[in-house]
Amino acid sequence: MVLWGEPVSIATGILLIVALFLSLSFEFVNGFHDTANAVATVIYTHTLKPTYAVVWSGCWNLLGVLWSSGAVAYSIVALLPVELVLHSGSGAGFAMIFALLISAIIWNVGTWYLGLPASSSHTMIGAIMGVGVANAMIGGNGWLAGINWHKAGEVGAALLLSPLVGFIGAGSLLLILKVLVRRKDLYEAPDKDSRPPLWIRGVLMLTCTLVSFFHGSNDGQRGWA
Amino acid sequence: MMLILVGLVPAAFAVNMANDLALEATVSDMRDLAATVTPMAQGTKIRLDDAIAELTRFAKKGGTPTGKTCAAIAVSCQTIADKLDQIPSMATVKREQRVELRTEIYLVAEAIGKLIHGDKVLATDAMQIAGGADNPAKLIADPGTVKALKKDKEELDKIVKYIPNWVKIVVAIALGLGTMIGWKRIVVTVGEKIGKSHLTYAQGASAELMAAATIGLADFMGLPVSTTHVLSSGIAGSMAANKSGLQRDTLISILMAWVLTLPVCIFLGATLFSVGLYLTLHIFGVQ
Repeated sequence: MVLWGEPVSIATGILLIVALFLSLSFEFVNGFHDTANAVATVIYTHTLKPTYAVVWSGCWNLLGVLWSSGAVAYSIVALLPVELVLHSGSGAGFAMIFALLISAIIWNVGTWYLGLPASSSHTMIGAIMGVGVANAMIGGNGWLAGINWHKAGEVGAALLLSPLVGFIGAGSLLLILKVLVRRKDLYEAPDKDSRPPLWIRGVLMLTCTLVSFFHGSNDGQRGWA
Repeated sequence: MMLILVGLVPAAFAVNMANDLALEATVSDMRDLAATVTPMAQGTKIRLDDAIAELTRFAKKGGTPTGKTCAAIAVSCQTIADKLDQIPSMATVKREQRVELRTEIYLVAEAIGKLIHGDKVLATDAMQIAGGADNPAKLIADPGTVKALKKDKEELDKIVKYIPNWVKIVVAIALGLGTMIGWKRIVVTVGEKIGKSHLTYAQGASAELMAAATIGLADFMGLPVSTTHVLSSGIAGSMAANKSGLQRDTLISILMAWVLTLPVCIFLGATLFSVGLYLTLHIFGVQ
């Protein structure tokens, strides 16, 4: 078999197809996990119909990926054991790649199946640390050596900080809005067919677009590396 | 994806074959760097094989620089420069030498990256020539050196940390398709199961504005916040502020998932890696 001008064995070819399939599946699952961030509010406020909202968000995700420079892509690689990255074609290297992808896919699909919104960055960081822990143990360094405490601290901080930012931020915004804009229909469940006022639709379209685009430009890069 | 390609078809992907690399500039920069680093090694001599081992040790987590590291950087830079000097373009590097070249370039780039801390450079015992041998490594501000080192790293990264356009496009399509196909489950949770009443226009706008704002918080202020977490909590916050009531069961499940993500994924990653390693070594007999 000849791939990219290089003669390779059939076994390598099959391994390549399986590995590439897994890495694209990871990206695919990642996509359907995080869309809710961008489209849930748009759909439930009747700003856009679900189909339009999802296609719109998907397109902006795609543009986000294509627009990004790739600078972030390899930052995820920097978290992996360097000896495995340099020998990604070795048995250990492949064990690493498969472990990362399958772990992330299992947790993402599991939480998605239960309808639970969970952070795919935390998922990836966890899987990377897991490989680090096992690698450190096998290398005789004790499992603690495999934990990236800096990253673990960031995840911990995000766990404390994000709910506070979200809960207090959005709650306060709503209260401020209530004082500034005295329109009853904004604060009651919308009718089935009615659409929100133009400026609310504008705000939601803009935020949906931004969230989609930046999701693509940040998270989309991980699959490249 | 690049790790897979480099691992399985190394001759085609180990180094960037694009023609727009400024190889001549890299050659002279590598020679300059070797010349700068050599005195810092204070006479330590090292062979290329040992240099690779030393740089790998330094690149690992917790690796600290020594005079030997400087010697290793010097030798590797010299080797890279000599290799690149002989070739008009990357495509003319012999196939079997591409992986070797990749390893050398990758490690030097990593080592440089590890010496730079913001606008300071990490000086080793041996680098502080006047300070004696027992001084611990410390950070010194040296804008000229930092700037030069950053430029060197950028040039090297262009050769080994590149991404072909077709890889970008294929990944983008996979992400976009996933977005369009599997969105419903989580959207329903966020939209219907967090609050007790239907999401109002104002609640939707408040929560989504906060979610979009987190991109700014994360990207430009470096705060470790998750868009997913902010949006779900934002909906909950706006429900509470509107006195709409919250669904406790859903909130507890979501919080559980957030807290469990890291430990479960560490466990999964560790287990699967160990199993994979066992399989490759003992069943398939691959080294």
